[in-house]
Amino acid sequence: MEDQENSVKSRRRFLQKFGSLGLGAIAVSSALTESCSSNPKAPGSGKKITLLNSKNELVEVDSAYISTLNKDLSPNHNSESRNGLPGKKFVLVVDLGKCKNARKCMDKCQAVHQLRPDQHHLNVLLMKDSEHTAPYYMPKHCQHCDNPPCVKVCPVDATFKRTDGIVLIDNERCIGCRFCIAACPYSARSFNWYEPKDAEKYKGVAYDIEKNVPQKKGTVTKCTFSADCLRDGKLPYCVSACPNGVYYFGNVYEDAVTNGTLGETVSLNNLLAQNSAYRLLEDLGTAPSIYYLPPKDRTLIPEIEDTQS
Amino acid sequence: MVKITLLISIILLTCTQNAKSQVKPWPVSAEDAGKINPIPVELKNLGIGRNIFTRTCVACHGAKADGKGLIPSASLIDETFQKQSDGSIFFKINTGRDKMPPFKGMLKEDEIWSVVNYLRILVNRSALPPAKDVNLEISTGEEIKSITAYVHSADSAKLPFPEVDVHFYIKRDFGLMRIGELSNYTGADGKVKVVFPEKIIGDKEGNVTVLAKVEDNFLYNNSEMAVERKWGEQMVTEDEKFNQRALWGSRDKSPVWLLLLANGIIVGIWGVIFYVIYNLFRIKKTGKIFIKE
Amino acid sequence: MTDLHRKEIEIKKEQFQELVAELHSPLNRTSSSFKIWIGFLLLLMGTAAFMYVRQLRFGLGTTDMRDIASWGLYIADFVFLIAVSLVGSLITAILKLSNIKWATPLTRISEIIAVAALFSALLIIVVDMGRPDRLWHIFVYGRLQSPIVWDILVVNTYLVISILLLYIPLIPDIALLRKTMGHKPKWQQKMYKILSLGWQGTEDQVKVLNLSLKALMVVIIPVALSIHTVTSWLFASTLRPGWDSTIFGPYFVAGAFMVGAATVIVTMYIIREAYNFKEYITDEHFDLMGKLLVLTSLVYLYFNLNEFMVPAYKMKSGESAHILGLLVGDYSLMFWSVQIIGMIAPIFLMAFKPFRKPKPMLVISVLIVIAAFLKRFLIVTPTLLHPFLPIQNYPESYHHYNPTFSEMMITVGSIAGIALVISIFTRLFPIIPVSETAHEQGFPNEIINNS
Repeated sequence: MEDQENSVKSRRRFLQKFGSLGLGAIAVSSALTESCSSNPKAPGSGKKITLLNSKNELVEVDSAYISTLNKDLSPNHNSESRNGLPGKKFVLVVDLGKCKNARKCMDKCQAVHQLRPDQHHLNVLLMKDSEHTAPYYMPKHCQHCDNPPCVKVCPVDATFKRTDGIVLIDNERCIGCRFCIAACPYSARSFNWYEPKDAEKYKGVAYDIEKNVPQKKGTVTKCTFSADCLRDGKLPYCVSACPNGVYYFGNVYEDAVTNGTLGETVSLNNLLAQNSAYRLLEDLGTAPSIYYLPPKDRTLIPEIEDTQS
Repeated sequence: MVKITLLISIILLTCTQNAKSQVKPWPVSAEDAGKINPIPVELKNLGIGRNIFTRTCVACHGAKADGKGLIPSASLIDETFQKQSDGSIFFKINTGRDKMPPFKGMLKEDEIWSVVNYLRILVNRSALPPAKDVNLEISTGEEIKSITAYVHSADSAKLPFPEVDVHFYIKRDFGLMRIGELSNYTGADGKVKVVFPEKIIGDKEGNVTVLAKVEDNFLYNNSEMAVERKWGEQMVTEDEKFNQRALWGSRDKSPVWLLLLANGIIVGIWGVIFYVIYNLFRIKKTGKIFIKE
Repeated sequence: MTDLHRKEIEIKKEQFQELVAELHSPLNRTSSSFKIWIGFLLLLMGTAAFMYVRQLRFGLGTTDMRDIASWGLYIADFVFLIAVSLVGSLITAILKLSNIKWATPLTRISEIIAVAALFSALLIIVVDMGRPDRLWHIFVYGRLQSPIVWDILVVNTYLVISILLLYIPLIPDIALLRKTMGHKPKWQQKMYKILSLGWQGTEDQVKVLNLSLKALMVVIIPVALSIHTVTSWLFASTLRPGWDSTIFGPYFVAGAFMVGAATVIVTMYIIREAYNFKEYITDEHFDLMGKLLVLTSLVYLYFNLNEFMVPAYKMKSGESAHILGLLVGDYSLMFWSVQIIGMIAPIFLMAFKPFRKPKPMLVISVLIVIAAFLKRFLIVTPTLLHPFLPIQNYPESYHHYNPTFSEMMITVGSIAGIALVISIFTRLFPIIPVSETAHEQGFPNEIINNS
């Protein structure tokens, strides 16, 4: 624990020193620290820059892969993250009529959040409500409830609700009692039963509570609404990964949601009213922040293989 | 050295991709391939084609139609694609295959033909005159909240441009929200007016940023301008709701009744326990006195 | 007259010394079978410790718990141990406050069971934690809104009261031990000396002692009820079908009284046989405990009827998959075995006097205890396996929960720990209260304090 903290601190110190050299705080962006502000697919510019990495090795890096670290790396960054972004209350609208089970959102989510294939922040379910109703695909995130049953039961303030509506978990606080998993009616939480995936690679990476990375063994993990992206004014990872225009994301206070695929922005109230939107398990009183538009006008109606659901 | 291997691998990769697409041909009957495109290559129809393309095709085929969208797919701008007849392209959009969904039923036939025209324009602009540079100015009416865009030539002559499609937007957190119609054409004076809609929410003071844009136009290059006006409703946030004492609140926000109840019980019960422990000391003390006596 | 009186006192004194010698006899025993028994328990606990170290190293993945069934055997064991501990308050406080004298020889047995079970419960809950190294977070960042924090508060409060209720009546007995155990090792004598608090049996001391006992007996009843009620709220405070029940509190309390009484019967049988206490723990005791067990079982049966009949009648969506799973599905065999063998059949059998003899009572009680453990398992697991939304995109194994060897050994270890604490206690302190028994047999204070 302490070693890790020290290494993080020394990294920070290193970055500060670098800053005083007049080079500005820089970080090497790679698949590991992939964030909303960096584009890992950026083509090489051919211009090489020599850098000192966290292992004290000099490395040559293409300048296209370098981005300025605009995030505050001060130790209290994570305590600020508990407050939420001012003037925002985030909302996700899922258009079930458009979901074709492409699962790009799931893949992206698992890649970004260091999750094993059987760990889901986001799970696309094949639903069938009753015998004669048609089956449909339903992406299911944490619902970021306004009356969150999981937050109620947490004994140590590890999981908490921010003023912008996001429910996060601090995996440096979590004691691993899994009461929140038991309390969540949406089965939206996951636990690190083993050492997390790629734990070696993530060693020494500073913990980002808004991304919940690096994951830690023996703690709970959950959908963060990609709070790290939102801080940068970008759409969540899953929303921008969808090829089918399923997701609309936005700010309730300004009555606008933006489609992650089309980039089109519409009035939230109109969208919900015109499509008879509903929320999942509304009768439980959890007041979710995610709305679903009923699965109508579909080009693809899935066939049910297992009758489980 | 590295660059050369990279180059080779890229060439190989493209080859295999080409090979793949050739492995699975998509046969089109002579009758279908020979169908004539009934829609003329005109600005309005191209606009329709472009709008459909951005809504339904960009996700997979990419904004540049190069096949590099969220799901990798066929490039619509390379030679193999473009050398097909209009009829063949129409047939493929209409019926679909594998991940390419059939648009029969979703789009009207005329609309599909318009998309075909638009795809042609993407690689060959020769049917259109060269694009002109424009300047855009915004003036606002206060009595009836309205925005007027004035489109004129970029040179000092400032000649008004009629029949230019101007798009109006309001800035939101994650994108631009359209106001007015899908297309707003300038009049003979180069101006077009749009009424600011009701129930638009601004920031805490009600400020709203309004944009006018000439964009994706076939005849004019892109241009835009933004103004901020205090026209919106003031944003009402619910910070108090999320800062109140509640069962889901943080540890320093537990409900008062819970604090009183829990602490009352704790004090009551532990009072008795401490009383009993105190009694144990009393027993010990009296025992000592007894021994002395 | 004075001679006669003196003689009477002499006889009484001798009788008292006989009583003390008999009740102290386990302390002077040196049998190899006891050592083998302790060795066996230590072996079980050692295995559990090894498995736990392994779990610490590799994570909770060594159990069969996963994202769907995220609680399992450990939590079932925790609820079971909490239930068992409730008996301390039943025998000591409730029966004593009702002036029921026959329970006196059983008070210490039930108190030590309570204390040992509570320690074990506290350990097993730490075992269940993903990050036991952060246990201190509960004390530093504790959140009063969480039922876990309530549970920690009441369990620890109950533990302190139970220890006091075990210790305070023991003070006069320890004072006696100081006099009779002169041949024991130094550390043991020193322990007796410290723990006896210089007890002389003066009027003042007796008065303070009795006052303290009374206060504790009154206080322990609400605490005991709340410890199990709050434990039931760990489940009832969620929205899940099968847990979302308003009668979970009394349902758990009733079940706890039942399994607690059965545990006392098993323990008192073993102690009676091992130490030849037939005179103190009589057949009559088994008969009366049997009647008490019938009473608690009937109450529990009533709550079971409410808990399962009502939702089964309605078959509400969500609720129905869970109920059907219990009544006719995956868990039906276990469910009906538990309900019939562990509750309904014992009630019928114990209604007849021949079945309230020690041996049949032992068999019935063992069955009840095993069934009670399985019942806790049935409360925890099937509910988690029937969430509101379908279980998809998980490996097949996520649809089931079958505890691993590691989990089972740790659970067995937790129960072995209780047996170990009780066994060692019987060798250090009189398991049947000496001075209380003497008082009830009519020995005057002077004799008890001065012999």
